[in-house]
Amino acid sequence: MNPLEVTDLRVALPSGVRAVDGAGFEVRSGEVLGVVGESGSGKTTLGLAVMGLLPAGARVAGSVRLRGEELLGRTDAELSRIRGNDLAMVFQDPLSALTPVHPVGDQIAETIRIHQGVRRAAARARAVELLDLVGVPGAARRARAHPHELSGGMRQRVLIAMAIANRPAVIIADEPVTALDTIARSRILDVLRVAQASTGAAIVLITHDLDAVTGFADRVMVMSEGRMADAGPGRELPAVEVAPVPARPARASRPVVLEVSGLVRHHSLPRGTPARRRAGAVRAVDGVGFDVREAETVALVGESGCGKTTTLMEIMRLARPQGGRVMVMGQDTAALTRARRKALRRDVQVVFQDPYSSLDPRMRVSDIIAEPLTAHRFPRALIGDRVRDLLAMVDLDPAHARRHPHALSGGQRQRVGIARALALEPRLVLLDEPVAALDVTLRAGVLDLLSDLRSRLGLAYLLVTHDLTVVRRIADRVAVMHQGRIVETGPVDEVFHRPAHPYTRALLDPRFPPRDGPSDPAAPIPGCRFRIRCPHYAALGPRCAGLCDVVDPQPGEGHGGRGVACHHPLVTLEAAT
Amino acid sequence: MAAFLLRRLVRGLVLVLLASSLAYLLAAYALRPRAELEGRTPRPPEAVIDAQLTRHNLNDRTPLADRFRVWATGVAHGSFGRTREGEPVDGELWRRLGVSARLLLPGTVLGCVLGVLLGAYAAIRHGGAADHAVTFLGYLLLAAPVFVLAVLLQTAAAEANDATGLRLLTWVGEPPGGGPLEAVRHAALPTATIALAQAALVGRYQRALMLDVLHADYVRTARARGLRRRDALLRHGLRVALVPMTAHAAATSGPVLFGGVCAERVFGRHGLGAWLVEAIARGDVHVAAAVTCLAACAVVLTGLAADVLSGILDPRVRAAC
Amino acid sequence: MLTGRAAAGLLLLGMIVLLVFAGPPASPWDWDRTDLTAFGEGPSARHWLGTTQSGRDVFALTLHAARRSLLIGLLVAVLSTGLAAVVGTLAGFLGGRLDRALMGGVDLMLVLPPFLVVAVLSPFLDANGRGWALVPLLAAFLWMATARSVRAMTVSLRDREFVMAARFLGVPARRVVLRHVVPHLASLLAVDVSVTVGTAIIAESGLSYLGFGVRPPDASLGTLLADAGSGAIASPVPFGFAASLLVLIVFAVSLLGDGLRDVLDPEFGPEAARP
Repeated sequence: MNPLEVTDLRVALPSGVRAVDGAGFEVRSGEVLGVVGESGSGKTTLGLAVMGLLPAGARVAGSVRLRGEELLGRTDAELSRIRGNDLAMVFQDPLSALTPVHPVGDQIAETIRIHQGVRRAAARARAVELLDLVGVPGAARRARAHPHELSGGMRQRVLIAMAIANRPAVIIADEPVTALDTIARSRILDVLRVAQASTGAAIVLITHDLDAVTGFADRVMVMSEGRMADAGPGRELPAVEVAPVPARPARASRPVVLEVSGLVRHHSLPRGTPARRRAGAVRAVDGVGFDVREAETVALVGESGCGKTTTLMEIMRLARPQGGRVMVMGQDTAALTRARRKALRRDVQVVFQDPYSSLDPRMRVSDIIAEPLTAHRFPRALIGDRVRDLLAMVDLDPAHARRHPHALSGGQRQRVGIARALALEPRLVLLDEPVAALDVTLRAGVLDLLSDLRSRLGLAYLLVTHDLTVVRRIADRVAVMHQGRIVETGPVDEVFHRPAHPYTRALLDPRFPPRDGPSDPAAPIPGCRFRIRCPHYAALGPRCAGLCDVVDPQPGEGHGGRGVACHHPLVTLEAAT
Repeated sequence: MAAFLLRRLVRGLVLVLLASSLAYLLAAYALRPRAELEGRTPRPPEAVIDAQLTRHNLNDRTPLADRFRVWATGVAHGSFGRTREGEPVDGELWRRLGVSARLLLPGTVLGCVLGVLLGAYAAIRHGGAADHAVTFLGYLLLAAPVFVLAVLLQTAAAEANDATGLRLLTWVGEPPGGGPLEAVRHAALPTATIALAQAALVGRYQRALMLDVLHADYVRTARARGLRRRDALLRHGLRVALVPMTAHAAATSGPVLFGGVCAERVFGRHGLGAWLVEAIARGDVHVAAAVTCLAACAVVLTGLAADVLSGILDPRVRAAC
Repeated sequence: MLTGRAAAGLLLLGMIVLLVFAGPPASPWDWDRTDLTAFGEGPSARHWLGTTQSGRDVFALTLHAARRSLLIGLLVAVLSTGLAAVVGTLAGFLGGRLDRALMGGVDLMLVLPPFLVVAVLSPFLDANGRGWALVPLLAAFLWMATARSVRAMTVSLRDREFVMAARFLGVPARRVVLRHVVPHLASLLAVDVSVTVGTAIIAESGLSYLGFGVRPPDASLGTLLADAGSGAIASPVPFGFAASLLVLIVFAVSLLGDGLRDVLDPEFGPEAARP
């Protein structure tokens, strides 16, 4: 008998939407089933329906059998004996899924105490064991911590520990790694694998991201418009195609549109005495330098919190930086007059990450796109035509001009954002995670549009992202950031094929993860900042390691436009070809 | 946390000092104790009036700054001065504080508890008949000032007394003595009035707060662990929704005190509120300043208590301090 | 479109306004005349709801009082919300020293003992006891909380991406405020006006009840309730009429306010927040 069998499941939400429309699957013990679908495909509703946690007013039909027993139609009291015991769930957002006011250990212990008649102390001890099992270092201490005191990866582990606490037969994991960056993501999947091995549970892994299930799921089903279809074994999915690189004049002969050198931005901590505030400043950006030339895309990549977005905002301010220098179109931003700054804004534009919050919800699309034109005294009579041209340029229907942002899809909204950025015919566009807020299926379209616009209009892009597939798709050059510094730069192909810095390789290849280490952005260590996390540092002899302890490596630029801030690079950088 | 509380305490102390000083200056400037003395028949000679006023630091012909200095020195030594008749303010002040506290405190505490429970209950039953009933009643209670509510309850109590032929409830004045039963008979109506008014203030906000956590992810997680909906909502949802409630409850202290002044009038209690009203009407500067000072202390202390409570309830608050 | 609550509130308020303004001309007796032949009498053709102990017509007097209370409440609300809007947006958008100074002013106002100030100053400023001095006095004590929320909202709007986008596009600051900040505040302010009307009416009637607001021979609902309250058990009509008018007005206004919040605040409303 399979632990979980779902047949012909239909769910109508209180709003009348038929979110699940005849879904069916089964999982065997110890099997991992991946359920992949874009947002709105009904996959989250499916998970909640199996758990019996749908909002009040939802209508469910069909059958959900756990070890042959029907679950649909049971009362809350009956289901509460099953939930967390035989059937457990790992939720998507680990911060909001944990009660903020209780220690995490108590929340795991509660799971145990509900279903097993054990004493509080025994349950707490078991909670610490579980945290240890899912790889939380210092489990006894962390058990007493509250959710806000843990990192995203740690919180996700807490949720997994909670799910396996009573050795369930089935674990449903709803987007367990979506909120995490590449490195944390592969770790959490490892933890899930360990958890599964120790309990023998069947796992249903719900996600919108094919990459997340490739190599992890035994079988993948695709969910679309409330229905499910087999997609075959999880290890045989097609690889992502790579876009062709258009021909351009050689890099050195193109003019520099943006030049950043030694840029510094420290955020003072909001509390404490002024002296302590100065000492405890968070070094968000701590000496960053790179340049962007006409008609090229430079990508800044790194984990969240590495300072890439701060770098972008510092450039966008067009004002004197705390340290270092920003030259835009050959003009030093520290020396700009008010009028010059406004004129320069025509040349530099930005596309924000979240198309929901970057468009004023009360304005029509035509007014949003016209706003920069009006602000820069574009002839009033020509604005209508210009808006129409811009809409056509980003492949939007002229009829969209009269709509409000909330009546558009995410992809359409981001196109409006791009049209607004292009309205003044800029030469440099800063892209802040331009597709991170979009569904996977919509990303390709927006990225293709951006590539196309660049070659048609001769734009330069500075792209900030944590997503390496985006970098592969549209960037020419890449700069990898770690703790406010650039650790490696170079052409995308070369850096991605032959990474020279251990951190770059860690981002690219989950087989070489960086080590966990205390990395306090307020107090960087002397010498190489990466050495605590560096997988090579421990293996180096004392003479070589001594260099890392004392000298802070700088990313010297030279060989073929590549540079690496490491005393012991993984590959030797050769002369330019 | 301790440093934070100390900072808040110091800030509160400064606020109390400011408020009391402003209250004194305003009362001393605008109130006219002289008018009442001049109105007596036979009208006392000017010199006698001046002498009497000067004796108690009430003479409006003395510069305001000088009077303030004398008053402030007195307060610093623990004395709020004398009434217009020459009685010390302090003894009467503490006696009346007792009367007001007995009238207000039980109802306020009861009302807060009742409001939290009803608000949470209505939110859990969101959209149901119970929710609609509680919400509607809340609107009505919020629209009824204390002096209307009190009269309605008095009328109902009088009906009940008539119907049963017993004097079940009585409400005018303080109990003349006669054991706990008599005290309860006297306290029941005022307590109910204050509690209902307070419950409406608290309950409406608690319902909104609880609605916010009704669909919170962590409540769903708690249910996924095996807690029943009601237990998950109470142990995890209400616990979180109580944190912002503490500050809101403290912010109602102003309306509560104002309601208290009206309640003393309706129920014929001679507490601080009634004294303040008399003092303003009769031009008794020191009484008005002293009562206002106590009110400011009450507001500041309530705020402090709310800070402590939210720190106990929420580790994030502790961390932020 | 109005929600059920807002529509019910508006309808109720409309009926009350109609009664309050059309009632007195229809009544056979004026509010300020004393009938020396009828003291504390029951309803009759001459006095539709009877007379008070001092011989005044209950119907006409109560409607006059309700009109006075309504008008004071409305004026207070408009004045206090307007003040809050100006102070809040200035402090929030411009920030810096001006922000600190204005918020310091808010803190100072919060320290002043409102009851004492209004009770002392109202008779002082208002010799004939018609209560108009209450309008600035009450408004002066009701704007601070709104100013804070306006400021907080302005600050959060200032940091929203669409406002940042406008600034990065080179849109001048004054234009950013008018196009992107003020429209988002409109709903907050509309709701605040209706909520403050209720608060102001209760405060006004309370002060008048204690003898510090409107004073006889003029009347507001508070003075009538003070007169009729003690005799309510013996003669319920005067008290009941005034009390139900007061409760209904505040009830209607708060229904309207909460309903408006649902309609005008699609971003923060109950439906919009959930996917």
